[in-house]
Amino acid sequence: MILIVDNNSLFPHSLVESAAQAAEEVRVLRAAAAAVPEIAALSPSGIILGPGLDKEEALKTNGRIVERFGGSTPMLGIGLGMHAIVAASGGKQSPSERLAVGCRVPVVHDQRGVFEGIPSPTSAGCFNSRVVEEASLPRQLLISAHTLEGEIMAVRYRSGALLEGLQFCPESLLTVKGRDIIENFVEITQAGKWLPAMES
Amino acid sequence: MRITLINDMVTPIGAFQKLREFNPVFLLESVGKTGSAGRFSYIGLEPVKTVVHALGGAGSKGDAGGLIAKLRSALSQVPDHREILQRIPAGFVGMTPFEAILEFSPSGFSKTLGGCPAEAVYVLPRFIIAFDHLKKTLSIEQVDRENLDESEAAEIVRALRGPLEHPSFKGGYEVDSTDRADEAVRGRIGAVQRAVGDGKVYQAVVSKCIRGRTDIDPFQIYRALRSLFPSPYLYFLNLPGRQVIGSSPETLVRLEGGSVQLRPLSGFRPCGDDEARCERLGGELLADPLENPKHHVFVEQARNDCYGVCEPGSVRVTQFKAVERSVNYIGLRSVVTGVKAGRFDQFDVYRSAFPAGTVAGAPKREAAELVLQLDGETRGVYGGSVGYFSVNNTMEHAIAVRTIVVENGCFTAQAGAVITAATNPEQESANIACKCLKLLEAFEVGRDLL
Repeated sequence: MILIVDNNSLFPHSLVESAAQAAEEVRVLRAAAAAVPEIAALSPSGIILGPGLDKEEALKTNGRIVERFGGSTPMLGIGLGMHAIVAASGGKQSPSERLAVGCRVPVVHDQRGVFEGIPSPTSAGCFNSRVVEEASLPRQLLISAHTLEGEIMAVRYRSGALLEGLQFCPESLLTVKGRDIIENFVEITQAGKWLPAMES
Repeated sequence: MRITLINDMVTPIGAFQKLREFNPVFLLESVGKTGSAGRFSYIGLEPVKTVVHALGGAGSKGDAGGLIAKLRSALSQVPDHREILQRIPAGFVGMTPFEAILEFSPSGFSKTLGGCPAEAVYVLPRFIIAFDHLKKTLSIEQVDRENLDESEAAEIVRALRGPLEHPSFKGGYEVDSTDRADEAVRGRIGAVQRAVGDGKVYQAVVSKCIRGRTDIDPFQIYRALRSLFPSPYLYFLNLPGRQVIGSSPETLVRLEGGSVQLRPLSGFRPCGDDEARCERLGGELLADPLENPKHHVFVEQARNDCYGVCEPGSVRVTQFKAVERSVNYIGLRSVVTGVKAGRFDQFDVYRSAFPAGTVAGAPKREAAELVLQLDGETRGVYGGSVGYFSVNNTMEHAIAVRTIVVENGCFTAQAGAVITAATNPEQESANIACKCLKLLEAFEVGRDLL
């Protein structure tokens, strides 16, 4: 079962629909109700931290989920969810001068993890105009995708634990291979397929 | 049962005027993209039931079972006309104010809002006069019961064949000073941009409301407005103590034959008859770095609204960012469709789409809350909807923009724009003021019509 933590995104139903096309069972918990014991009781096979506004409280709520389940349950953070993954390890994000909410950008990626089998670059829709500061990126995270201008578009844990973050929204119409990205994530959670550790 | 007659003499406007003694409650018309009249026009006569519901206001916490429950129950008591004409508004016709989001939003609002309560008003007419402009027919359909009251229908026909009395009283209008309003608009644009910077919203719609007094017959203002701004949704609601006059180009939501349709439209550019200029403007619009992201947000919101109430896998974007040229503007249009899931009814579909992102902002709830707090007063029908819920599970609602409300000799006319981080405050406040002034042309023109 895939658990979606709904952070009051712009289009929550779209994410649920995308996940439901790929997974047999999808459950949604609103962030306010997504406390660690509730999630543990559901014992999901994968967790998607949904997008939303980067409010401090939301970053903290999601951060607690990352701390407790990151490394034991495959997890995909989108937008705010990615920022929570980064913040939980001490990284920061700041407003982007260039990336407007609703913009479409080409994304260059490493074709691993959730990007397996997806051509690079691929087109993606961004709905969060705050981006991760590269200088602040914690050592345990690597950059798995970026824009042509260098903004960080995705991160992944180096340790091999399945913890990935996407700056863009795979459930957006603008993300041409978005369904495939979510399918990849669901497949990884089902197969218990962990990535080998990577050092750079 | 209905009466259908060939009609190539009486226009909907003329019929409305001729049928004054039958208490006409609404006139719904449409003008297509090319400027030709839409196929159907409808007049509702003799309201037999009215649903009124107060929304918002100081201390309001919303009511989960409110407006939708009232309408659902009221419509269930209307006889189901199996043979009813397709797309006829055989049910409740009316308007929902923007403040309905207070009830529709699942988690409610964090703070109470100021201002007076706004009212949603829907009426069930006894008769509908349906004009089919293609077949050149006029039909009289009874809505409140299965069988047509033939003697009353004959009275209506007699009135339609009778003389047309032209309006003679010209009247005038007076606008309250708007200097402070312009200053306030600039202040609200700044406040929205700070909220965007603080990560509270992505974008929000700031509007300006012009108030004044008029003794022009509201129906003449409608006649002027529909001539100045021919639009897909032209409406005149003649509600108790209040007239709602609009020419909206925007669809909130449509449901017909189980198919849900949302049609986000944004990036308006005024455009005349000059082909080359329109083409150039269309090209610029498609490349515009501000308009494209805004439109993308609207399309995503529309998809989301559909996913919430449609069969899995049925939602499609059948048109994406087409440059739409209308009689007086060009804009970017997308169309999102889906098949309504069996467990939902037309009211669920309506609630899912309300309000449109193009008049609230994003996320809808946060943006709506922000603008209502910043306005400090009731928005009313502006940004809400005007449309119908029909017994044959068909409904269609326009977004209430380019709309004037006249209430006991006082009027309000409101216009707004989407504010993002990239908006130029001076330029956008001037643009909003200009949109308001254009609405006032309807008063000028409405003073002297044939």
